[in-house]
Amino acid sequence: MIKWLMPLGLLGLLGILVLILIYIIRPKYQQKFITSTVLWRQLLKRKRKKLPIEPIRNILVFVCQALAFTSLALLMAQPKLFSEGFVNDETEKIIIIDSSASMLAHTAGDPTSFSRFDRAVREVKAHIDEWLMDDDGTISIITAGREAEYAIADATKEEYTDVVHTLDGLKCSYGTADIQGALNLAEERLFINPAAKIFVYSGTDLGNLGSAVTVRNLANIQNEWNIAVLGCTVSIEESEYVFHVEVGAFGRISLEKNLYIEIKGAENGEDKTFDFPKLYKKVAFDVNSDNLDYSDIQTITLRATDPAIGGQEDWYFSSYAEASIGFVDLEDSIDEDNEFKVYGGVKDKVKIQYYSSKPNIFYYLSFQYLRDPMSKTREIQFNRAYALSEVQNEGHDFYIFEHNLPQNIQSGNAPKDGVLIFSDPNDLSAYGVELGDSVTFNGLKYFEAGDAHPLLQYIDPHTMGVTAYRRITSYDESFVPILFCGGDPVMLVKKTETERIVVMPFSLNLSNLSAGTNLTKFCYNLIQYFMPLTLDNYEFEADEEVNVNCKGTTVTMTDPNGKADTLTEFPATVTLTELGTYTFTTNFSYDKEAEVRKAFVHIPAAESGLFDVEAMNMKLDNTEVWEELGEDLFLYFAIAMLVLFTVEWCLQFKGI
Amino acid sequence: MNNSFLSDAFFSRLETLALHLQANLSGYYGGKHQIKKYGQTMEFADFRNYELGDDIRRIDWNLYARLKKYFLKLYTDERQMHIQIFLDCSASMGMIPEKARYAVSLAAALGFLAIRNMDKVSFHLLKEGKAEDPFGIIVGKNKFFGAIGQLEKIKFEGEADFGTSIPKTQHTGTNDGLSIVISDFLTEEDWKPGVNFLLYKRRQVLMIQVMTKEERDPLYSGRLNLIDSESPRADDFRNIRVKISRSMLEEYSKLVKETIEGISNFCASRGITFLSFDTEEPIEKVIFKELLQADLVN
Repeated sequence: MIKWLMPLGLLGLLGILVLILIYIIRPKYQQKFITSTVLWRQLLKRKRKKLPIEPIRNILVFVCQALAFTSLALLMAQPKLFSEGFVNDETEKIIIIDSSASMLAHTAGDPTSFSRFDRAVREVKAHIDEWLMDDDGTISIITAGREAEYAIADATKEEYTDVVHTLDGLKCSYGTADIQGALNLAEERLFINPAAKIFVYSGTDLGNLGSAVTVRNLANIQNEWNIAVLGCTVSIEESEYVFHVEVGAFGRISLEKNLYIEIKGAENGEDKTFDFPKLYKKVAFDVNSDNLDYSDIQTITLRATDPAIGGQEDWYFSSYAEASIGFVDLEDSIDEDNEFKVYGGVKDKVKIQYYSSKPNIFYYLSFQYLRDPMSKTREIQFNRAYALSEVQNEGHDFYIFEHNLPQNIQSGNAPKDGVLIFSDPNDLSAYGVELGDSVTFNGLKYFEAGDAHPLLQYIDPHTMGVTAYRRITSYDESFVPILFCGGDPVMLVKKTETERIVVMPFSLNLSNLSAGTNLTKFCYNLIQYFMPLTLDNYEFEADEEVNVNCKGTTVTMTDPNGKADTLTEFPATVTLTELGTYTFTTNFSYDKEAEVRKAFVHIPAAESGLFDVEAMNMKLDNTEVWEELGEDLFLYFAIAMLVLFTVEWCLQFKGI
Repeated sequence: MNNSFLSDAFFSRLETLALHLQANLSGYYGGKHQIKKYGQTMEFADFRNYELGDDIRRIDWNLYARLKKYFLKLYTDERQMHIQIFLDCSASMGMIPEKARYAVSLAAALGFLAIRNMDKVSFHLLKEGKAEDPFGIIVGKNKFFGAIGQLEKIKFEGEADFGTSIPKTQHTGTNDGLSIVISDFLTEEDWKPGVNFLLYKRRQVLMIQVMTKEERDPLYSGRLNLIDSESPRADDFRNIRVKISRSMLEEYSKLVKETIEGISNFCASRGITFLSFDTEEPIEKVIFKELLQADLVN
């Protein structure tokens, strides 16, 4: 929307400036009578031939005047550059409805009562007749959900039924409200029609938003109160899971409620899972006193071994599938925040098998070092096969083969369920890689980097080197070389649906990888690249965007309503709009049990606070008065200037 | 116009001078200009062999006594010439009174030299595409001074177009004298056809340019609306707006020199004598020095 005609006063001032400028730059010529101008004219002709720019300079004043003339003419014409026209219509109404989760609040103790959102919609509907029919006006409805957007725009009385249907179809979200965005949309409309009236229906005290805005606060301190489980963090203290639960009470209440925790799928390392009975803890809330924001937020610590809440001292567990935390017998204003589920208690197991014809401890130490920092999310098991007979062909995520390969592996009969890491292999022809002669150096020969690759994240390839390596003479196209030494590839990576292979044609004994941290970083990258966590977190706010990774081929996402969606490209970004438990099932192309991970989606903690104050730093005012005055004055000004210009031109052409 | 130059003292100084014209002119009988033809004057010119029919009284008997051959003595002939003076009477000549006086004085002086030499004089006033001849052919000092008195009162106005007005001149004889054109030659019109016409009439031509110092080296500068003295209206194409800088003044002076050179070259190529004078130059100096140097007077 262009509004360069507003304010007109500014344009008028600019016009005056242009005029002054013209008269400043306009040369003043004194009359001089001479006998003949023949020679002067000849001289000017000669100069013009030399300087072609001279004629342009001569008409500069004319061009400036023409521009000023055009500007004034435009000012007089008052062209409407607004796409919808500039109006001053008080009958236009812009309705903003807050559709954040706090608008779900209803009368406490009466689940059948209307929520704030329902009441907002009903109030708008009650005004439609007056706004559309009686005033013959227009209505625009903006919903302020995760993003502010028009539900309907510029509806007239002919579209009455559309407006009603739109209002009936509006749904309150479980997320936050972009009130600011909605006000911005309304402000754009206000530029076109400064007399438009804006009505905001919200449960939040938004403060004074200016003369154009009427805020209808639907919060009801008398009948509404809310108790919520706002969130939960889990820590491991003395080998025991401890749940730190944040709970809050909002409104004029003073009561005591039982908070329960129920842990399911607990495992203590015996390959047997069991469910704990519900454990209860009393929580007392008191927000009747001088609490100005009507809130009482507390952090409650729960542990299964706490006898005070019904636990037993021997109820230790190393993992758990699900923990439910909630309040018993709660009939407050928002039902959706009374229970919270905690997932993430099941760690990803990373099983590594190492076999070497000349064993060393480099890989073992590197993975061992990673166990602790990765222990929150992963459990690393490192198995060493000391003899050929101990080499397993399945059941691991990584298979490291060093130096001479077992016969079956060499012939291509490799495990299918894990990543094959060939370190200084003797023969890889069965895998599409041909090894040639050995290249040796007197000292360390440092590597050169290929294209950036996740396996070399945090690693500077130029700090790694070898004294000898086997030359790779050819390799299958599905391999990607990521490291080079003297122009020869010294690290190949293959990641397809059926095969995941890393080839390193050099011995760790003849390299400096294990001397520093590079091998550890490389092992970390191996886990992250080939076995990424499906989700980084296991609890999200509604409408939150989440990255999903996959260690198999596909991930099936099932929402709390049972609706499934299969993700095939990773990392995938999905928006979790429903409240409850989402299930993410990772499927593998090879014979491996699908991996299930769950995540809990809850309403944002801030939305549980029913009586928040959120003052907007914005003022929207109706400004129709100056517009009419300014328009008339400057119209006359423009006419006067135009006449003066015309007279001046005429005089100039007549040579007076 | 009160011409301070045209005083008795001025004319008395001119008494010592006479116009020196080309000898190949024919002229009229009765003047004082010696011409190439042989005539009846007392001044010996040459001998030639006697031929049958020649007047025997003109045989040089002394020579016969020595050479025993008949030779005739030949004497020079003297003729009267017609001096036409074309005076540019356009506004550009009259805008600066000093310039007008100078031009009229030159015309009068040259006319006087002719009259004093028993020649005929006619003044042709060039203005508005015509060549006025208000005094007719003047012979004798009385008539001359009468004409000079009128000449001082002429009005300089409008434009002068030599190219068309000179060929319209009455009494343009052939090969009978000198035509003098006095002007500033600051004209848009092509004056060359007029000069060519005089040459066609086999007249000796003298062109005198009169310019003021300001016309040669203007002192004005800055943004000026230059009004041409010959322009009838303010919006005439001759009136121009110009920002005059020092470099432009230098270029203007250069252009003046080039213009004078151009006229001079044109005249030289046609055997015309061209003289350019500044009005600040004393008129006596012009006559007694410049004209003498140009061998126009003796």
